[in-house]
Amino acid sequence: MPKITYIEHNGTQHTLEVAEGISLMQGAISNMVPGIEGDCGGLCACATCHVYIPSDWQSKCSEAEELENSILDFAYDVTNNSRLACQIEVTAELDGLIVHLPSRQY
Amino acid sequence: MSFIEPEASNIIRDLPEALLIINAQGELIYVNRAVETLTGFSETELIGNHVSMLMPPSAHRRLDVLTWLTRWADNPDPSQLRYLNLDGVNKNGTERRYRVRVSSFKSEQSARFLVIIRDVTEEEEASRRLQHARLVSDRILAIGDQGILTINESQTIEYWNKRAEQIFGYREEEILGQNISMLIPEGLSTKHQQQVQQFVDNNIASRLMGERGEIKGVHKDGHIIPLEASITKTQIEDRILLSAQVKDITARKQAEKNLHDSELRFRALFENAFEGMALLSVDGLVIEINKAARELLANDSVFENRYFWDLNWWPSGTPEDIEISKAQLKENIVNVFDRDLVRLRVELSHHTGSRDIDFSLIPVIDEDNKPLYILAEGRDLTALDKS
Ligand code: FES
Repeated sequence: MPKITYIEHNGTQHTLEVAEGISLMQGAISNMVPGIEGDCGGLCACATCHVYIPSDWQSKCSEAEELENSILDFAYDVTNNSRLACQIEVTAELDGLIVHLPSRQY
Repeated sequence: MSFIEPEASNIIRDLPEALLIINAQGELIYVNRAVETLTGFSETELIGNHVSMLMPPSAHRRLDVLTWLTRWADNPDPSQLRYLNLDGVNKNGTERRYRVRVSSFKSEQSARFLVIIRDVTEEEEASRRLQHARLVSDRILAIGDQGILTINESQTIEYWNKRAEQIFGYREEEILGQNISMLIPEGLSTKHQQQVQQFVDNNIASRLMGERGEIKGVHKDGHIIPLEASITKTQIEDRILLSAQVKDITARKQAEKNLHDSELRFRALFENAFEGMALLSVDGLVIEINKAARELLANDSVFENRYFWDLNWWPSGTPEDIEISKAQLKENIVNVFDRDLVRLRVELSHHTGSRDIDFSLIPVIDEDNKPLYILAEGRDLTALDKS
């Protein structure tokens, strides 16, 4: 299983094995990573699964669709690295990925 | 509101929902009473101002209220907005969260937005608090040394923590939705099912570890795991959930066995020694006494918990002699921790004749020099002397 490291805004790291096929959001929620809410359960409708993906990993993630970008308007402190974690599927290619979490989700 | 009939206008003005109308530029052209109550601003303070007065832009968000209203005005499915609340602020500067619904209409050829806002600050906070409390308790359960699982009335697993994963070898996603029988050894699963049903039917809320003794589980790889479990029942409306804390007692059982084995070895040594031996408490009470020592005490049948000097060592002595010997022995025992070792040669007037004994008292201390026991040893030299 791909190893993913979620880093909370305060620096706390969670390195986890996440099953392929589920979303980065699900991986964080089921491993109880604080700092990700996922209110809508992955419907791309709440912007509470906002994460930062390092630039060199972006191309390995599925591309953001228009809806995701418009929902990101609601997220807090959005940058060029911002994505909604529920829209990224975990694949073998993401082994070693580091995901940074924002200071708040709502 | 010239475009609305007078009665309708009154109704809207007094509506309990906060309702406002803005033009395409975002200027407020109508607010009802509830908006005044909600925001603290009066109608005159609001009319003509931009709607961002109520929902200001933030340096932290890309969101711009007017764009947002425009985008959602004609969306036929407002359920998509369920999770998207906006930041608001009222007259005294307090930050609020608003749930906003919008539709558009045309008046005198210009676009208008009809906006309804509801203050959901407290509602949102309460559900966050709940969510975060759950996160904290989930994290506590995850690091506990007990496996935790919950099943519903059809005995399907609904909750599974990390420790349960380690005990049984199944990951959460493999086991959720499965029947509990997966974790019970084959021959026992019917019985287990009945026990669970019994627990559901009776009126006991919880049953704790120890009350039910050892149970057996089966690991994913097939090996049997000795377990202890506490179980509790929670009925929520018409659903019954059973939650269990499960402790893997493999290591404890192994430790118990090791202890038992070592006790057996020690007993074999102690009981079968040629020397008479007795283990005494620091004040001289007999804790253990071995066979060779008991043989020297043919007239006694109870040994434990008696003072060593009170045992019948001198069956054929005169009462005066016995008193003197007892007093000497007692003196040696109570002072042994000041003397490191007491070793003497004594003559016992045994019923088989007089015995010549090499007798010693050895103080036993722990690593902090605290007195633990006294070891009394007696070696019968009679036979040796004769040879
Ligand atoms: S979980 Fe709601 S947008 Fe990702």
